[in-house]
Amino acid sequence: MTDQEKDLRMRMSMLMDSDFDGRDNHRLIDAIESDAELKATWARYSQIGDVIRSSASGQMADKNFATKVSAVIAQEPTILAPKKLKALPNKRLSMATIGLAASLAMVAVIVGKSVNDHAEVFHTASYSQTHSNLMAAKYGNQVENQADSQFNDYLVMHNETAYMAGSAAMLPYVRVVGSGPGR
Amino acid sequence: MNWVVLRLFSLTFLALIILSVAREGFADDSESEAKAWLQTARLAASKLNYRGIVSYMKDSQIESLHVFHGFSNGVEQERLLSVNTPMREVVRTADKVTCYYPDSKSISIDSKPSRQSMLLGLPDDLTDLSKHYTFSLGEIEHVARRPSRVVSIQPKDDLRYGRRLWIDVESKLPLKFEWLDGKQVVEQLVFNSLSLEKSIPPEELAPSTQVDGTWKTKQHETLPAESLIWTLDGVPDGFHMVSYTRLKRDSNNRAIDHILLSDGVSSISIYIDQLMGEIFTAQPRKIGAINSYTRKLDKYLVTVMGEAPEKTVQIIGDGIHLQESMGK
Amino acid sequence: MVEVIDEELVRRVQKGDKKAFDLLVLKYQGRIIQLINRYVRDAHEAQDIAQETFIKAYRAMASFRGDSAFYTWIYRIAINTAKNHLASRSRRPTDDEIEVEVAEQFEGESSLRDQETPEGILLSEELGRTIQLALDELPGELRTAITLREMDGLSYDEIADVMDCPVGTVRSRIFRAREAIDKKIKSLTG
Repeated sequence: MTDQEKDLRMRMSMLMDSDFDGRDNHRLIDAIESDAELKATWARYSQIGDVIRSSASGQMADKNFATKVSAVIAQEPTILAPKKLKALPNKRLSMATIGLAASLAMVAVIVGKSVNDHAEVFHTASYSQTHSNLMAAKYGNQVENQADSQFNDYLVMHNETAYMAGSAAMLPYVRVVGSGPGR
Repeated sequence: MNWVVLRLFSLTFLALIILSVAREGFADDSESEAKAWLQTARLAASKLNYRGIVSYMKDSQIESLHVFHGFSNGVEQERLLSVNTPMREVVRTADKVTCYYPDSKSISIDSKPSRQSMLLGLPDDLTDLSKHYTFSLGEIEHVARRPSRVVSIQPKDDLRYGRRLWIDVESKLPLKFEWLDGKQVVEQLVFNSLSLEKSIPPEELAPSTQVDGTWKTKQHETLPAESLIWTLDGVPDGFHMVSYTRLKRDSNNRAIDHILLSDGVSSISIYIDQLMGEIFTAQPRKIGAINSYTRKLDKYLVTVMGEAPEKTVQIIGDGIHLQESMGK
Repeated sequence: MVEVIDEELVRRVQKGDKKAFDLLVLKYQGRIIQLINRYVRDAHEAQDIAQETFIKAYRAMASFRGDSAFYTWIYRIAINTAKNHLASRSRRPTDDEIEVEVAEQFEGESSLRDQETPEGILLSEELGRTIQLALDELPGELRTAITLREMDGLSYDEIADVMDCPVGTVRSRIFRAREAIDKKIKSLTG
């Protein structure tokens, strides 16, 4: 084992016990999550604790237990509900930097239900048209103009930022340049 | 034509193919090769000097745009200019992207721009995309009389659009691009003319729009994800949040929240605006490859739009809720 | 003792990092199964209920506010899930409401049972014995340090007080204890 590997494992041992030394623990957690060997070590360290705590008849987790749970969760929607819980102490980076970088890099949005559940609530074209006709009858052109202008603003903003999202497109800005109002 | 650079590309291309095949295994040849073509195309779009005219087609309308791209001393610069009224323009330099809107006399500036080329916007790492998309290599077809390889990006579900690109065999630049809803083409871009140059003069890369004191600059502020007061409960797997921004509009700085989502290939915007009176329209709209859906949420007006099928934007729109506890 | 690491992992899960949940599962799987064992003797059933507990916890993550420690929260979910299983066993089949509830609880997870083999559980028992043996063979101060941490849940500062040594020594002793045991069990878990 290299010194670096040993240092990583030592830091992981401390991390498990919530003993933080002010170093970049966020990166350490990233490393544990993505490195199979480190993750397996995290698992074994946890098992050591389990055995120390177990009573005489204590049952242990099946060796594939965590893998099975992980497989089920992989099918689940991802959760997006960031809350202000107490954050990890870190002396190197400022909290704002971590907050933003970590949030945006890792955030994913998820669905609580299976997407298929929504099929029946999908509005038919005729419904939308009827609704829109009612609105138009009630408010006349006013609706359309205000809504149009608002909509165009959104469209422009979307096209400006879409390329940031890695929107696989040739010339992602082309819509910004190529779409005039009233189109 | 910069022969040295092209030679470099052939070598890079070969290296990328070997690397990607080695990484993904021989069973996945077509997929790895397709990805290698895309990655090389992205490199080419970024490192070559070229100018051209592009036709942009959507909803049976066609527009033309000028494209200028320069790369010198490690710095990339690009400019897009519409030849039709209202002659909008976008200029990108190393540190910002500026959009000029003569129609509304306004400018939008993004000072933390993505490092991606404006010619081909793809994420650096294509491996994650395989969960939701299949990459495949097609035949050689001709675009602007140049032999080009077809690369397809097909979604694995019906919640996303597909893409097809034609990549010039010689320069590896993307020459034609389509957004697909199933088999139907909803938007298309194609180079009508393209010339590769040793360099592009700086004046061709500088903005041509005249701006004066009457022009407004659009204001917006980026916010941390933790300040999100919304829960998104209807987003398909694979999408993640790219940014959360608050836009300021009108003379009273009305705030509009903009959440940008992406799955690496498609992007979807969510706008949460104030509901002004009872006046709003919930009609779904479609413009080219963009579908949009609007609904009322308490005292807010939510609009979802993006390069995805109608069904997808509606599902996302219906799944937005106000978080019960804020800032706890 | 407040487990700040748990709070950090929960925060990551709430931002879409599923792998952070894996780490929580690995950390608490043993404790949750042992807890469920008190209600349900059958090993297979206990594992099933434990799996269900973690999946329920994951689904409820969006509403976890951090008012209590993560472990306390999942502890409650485990007990409720185990009790529901016991309750569903004793009800009459004609009670439609309960059948639906039970069916909902099991939906989608029945396939997990097929993959379990007795061999997986036997291996765990061997693992348990190996860890216990390795623990007994540790030098006194290493065994004390790791026991105070794992069994009594003391912080490093508290252990340093008890053992009358610097915190750095506590860190080192606990790490060396884990490494010594890990060496012996690595081959078993591969």
